[in-house]
Amino acid sequence: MTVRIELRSLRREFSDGTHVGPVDLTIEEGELLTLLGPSGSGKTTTLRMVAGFIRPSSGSLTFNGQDMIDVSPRDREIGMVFQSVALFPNMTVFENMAFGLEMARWSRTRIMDRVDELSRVLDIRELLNRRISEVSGGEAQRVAVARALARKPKVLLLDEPLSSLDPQLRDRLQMEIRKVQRSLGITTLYVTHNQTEAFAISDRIAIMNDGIVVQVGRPEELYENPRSEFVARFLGSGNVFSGIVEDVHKASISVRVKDHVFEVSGQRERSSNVCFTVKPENVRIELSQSGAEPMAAVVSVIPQAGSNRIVLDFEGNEVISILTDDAIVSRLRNSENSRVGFAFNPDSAVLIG
Amino acid sequence: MKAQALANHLILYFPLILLACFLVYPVCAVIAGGIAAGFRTSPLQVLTSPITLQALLFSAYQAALSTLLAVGLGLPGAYLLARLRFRGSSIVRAAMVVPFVLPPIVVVVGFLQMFGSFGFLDSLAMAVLGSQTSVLNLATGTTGIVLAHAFYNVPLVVLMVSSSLERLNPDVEESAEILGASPIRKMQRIVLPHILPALLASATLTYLFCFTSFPIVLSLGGGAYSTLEVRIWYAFRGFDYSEASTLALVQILITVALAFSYFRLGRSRSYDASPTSSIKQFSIGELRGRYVVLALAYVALLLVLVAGPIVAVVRAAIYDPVARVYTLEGFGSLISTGLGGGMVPLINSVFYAGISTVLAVILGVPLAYANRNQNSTMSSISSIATFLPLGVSAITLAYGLMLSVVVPLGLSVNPWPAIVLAQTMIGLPFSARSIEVALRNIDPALLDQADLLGASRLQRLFFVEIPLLAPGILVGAVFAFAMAIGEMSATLFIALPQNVTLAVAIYQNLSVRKFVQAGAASLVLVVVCLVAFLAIERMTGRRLGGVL
Repeated sequence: MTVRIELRSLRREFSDGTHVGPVDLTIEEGELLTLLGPSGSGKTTTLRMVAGFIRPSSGSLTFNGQDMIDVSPRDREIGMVFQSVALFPNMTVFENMAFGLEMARWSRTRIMDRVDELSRVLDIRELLNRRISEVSGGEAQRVAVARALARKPKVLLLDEPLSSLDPQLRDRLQMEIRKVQRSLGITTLYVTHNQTEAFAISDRIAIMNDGIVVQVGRPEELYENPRSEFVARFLGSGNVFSGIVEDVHKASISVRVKDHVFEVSGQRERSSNVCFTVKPENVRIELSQSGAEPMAAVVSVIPQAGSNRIVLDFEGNEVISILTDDAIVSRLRNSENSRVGFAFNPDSAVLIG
Repeated sequence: MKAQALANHLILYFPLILLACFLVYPVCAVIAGGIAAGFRTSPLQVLTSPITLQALLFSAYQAALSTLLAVGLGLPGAYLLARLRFRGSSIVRAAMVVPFVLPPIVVVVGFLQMFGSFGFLDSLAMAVLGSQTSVLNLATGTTGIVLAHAFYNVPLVVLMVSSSLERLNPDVEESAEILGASPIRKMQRIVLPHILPALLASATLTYLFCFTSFPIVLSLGGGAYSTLEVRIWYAFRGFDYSEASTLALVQILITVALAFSYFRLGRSRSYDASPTSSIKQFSIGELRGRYVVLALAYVALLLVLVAGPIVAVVRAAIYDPVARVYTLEGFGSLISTGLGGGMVPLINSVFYAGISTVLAVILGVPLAYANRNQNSTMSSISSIATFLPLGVSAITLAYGLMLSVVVPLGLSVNPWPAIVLAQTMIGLPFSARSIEVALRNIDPALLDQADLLGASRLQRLFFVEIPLLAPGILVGAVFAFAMAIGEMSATLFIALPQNVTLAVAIYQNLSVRKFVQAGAASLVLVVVCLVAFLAIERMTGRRLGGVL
């Protein structure tokens, strides 16, 4: 029943010369995989190739090893939720949910039973007789999910389903989508540009940039071990520095970033370009200046739960430090726009790539 | 504060007062007076006479046929225009307005030249068959009338339906596809319900225009085919006021009902969401061979039917079908100032249409504001008032103006103000509608901003609203001008020989078989309308469908 989806070198060229792909990706049976990336990175195009609305120029797409390229969207047994919700405005909630079942020529009683069952799962029973213009944004999105699931599809595709909702509603709905998806064990491809949403909902995340998948992994893997500067910067998993190796030591290297040299543990060739990240919690702020450490301007001090987030400007590069020491924070708050020194332990810097 | 509120009300009400004086009162006076007088035939006799019944049936029948043909021909065009990606689609869209602003009598000239005896098609058929006599005449009788009405209304259907189709979110269609709907089921359940209000509205408007059509039926139908409007015309000409009034009353009841349903349909279009950013489109290359042939055949048909008559006017201006020679005589007569010359009608046309345009805009701005009024009774009244001129017989209006304006004011020697008034009424729905559309597109936040920055009401009006409205006002003015300069029915009724306009001169030349003179004058009007269309195109870009 469940489906394993494989995309092999899937590629699409457009008439304006742009292209997406080649995309290589496997979505395991019952898994929720998210395509995450900035707008224009090819997420939606990839999703629409899986749905069948865009025909790939080359490559293969299989469901359980079966080639899908020549199968029309309506025969792929897919449920899909659109960013614009796309409920049929001329029908009631019930009629929307029943539409796919009618198309599949289900009997009236079976349709009633199925709609009833799904409306319980998604908690929309009292909406069934309403017109689409009479339901709120969050309710509409639930109806859209229910409509997509009605025919018991083998694959569920969600294209930024929550991006038009306010944050609280979004949090609640993403948990509900996750719960329903788990309980049905349906293979799901989810598209979003929102990192928090992706981290909250996904089994695995595929990060896309410039039309290709740059890294796939569980959320914590991506966060801990970004394999490229793009991933590190996009996920904001830490402060990203890039520079040139000036000197190679036994267990560490000296990297020149702008006018300052940092010690970073690990090995690279001399004169090569490298990139490394440092987690915000590992960035120390030095108020008593020795003259050796790099200097940065204090941009802002933002209080958050249990700590403070200090934004520094290091020669045009944003550096973020998370501080728990209230004494330092209060002194920083009184000296915004002044310059302070910062430092980190060579062991806390992680080389990328 | 109270004085200002009073001033506001006066500004909003004065178009309504003027409409009451120059539209409602004259028409009511004619009908009431005529029925009371019972000059030759009693109203009951008129209603039960077979001639009336025949005219009524023919009006309904030809309007139904015309509407069916217009919708049938318009639907594929609407689909292609909305969905096919091709170069120049915006020009095609804009050009669709040209037939609409073309005077009916000019269309008659173009139709005779394209489809009539010794016209383009006929000449072609004669050459093929080697015949010396005319073999094909489509510009006569019911065929001619229905074809000419289709010429007018196919573009209307195309514009209104395609703009609705463009507002269908492609995701909705894809949802249907992915839920297993076949293309046919998708049409039935999703696309058709979506465009239905626009389709019905365009069909109602088409039916309304065809039902009251006068110049086309009068010229192409000859005496044998009369609609109610033509019967009203003959009755007035025959001084049978009782018959004329009774018929006018019947016609007004029908047209007001039609106009009202159009107006209701317009309101129910509210769930059409705003234009979507991405329209589901395809390019010609993606079509399969069979469909390319079908699409090309359709475009060719439309070119013959819609573009053909317009182009044919050029030939009509220089080809004399009676003598079968090419001649410049028509233009010669156009610039002659003597008896039967074209100079006086030309000056009259520009003069009358110019004043009417100014009046239509002055009345249109407050009407547009009143239509947008929060108070729903007020906005309903003004909306009905805006569309009222569309539902009233031009001949009845003309007679009413003669009776209640010209005679009491002693203008019988030169009744030109009545012509201007009639033309104003006919242009008003279009100017008011264009301005209303422009008004709707102004971001209210912008006006609030002006308030916050300390602008007084007048400052706001003159420095913010009017400049923002200017394009809409200009489009409205151009529409009103085109309608006024092409108006023939009322003008024909009112005009004394010194008041003849170009449109009337064309009709008179046609009826005495001075075809080139009619052709040359028609060409002038076509050029005027083309210039008007270019101006509208420049000012509005796309989305002309919204004006209708």
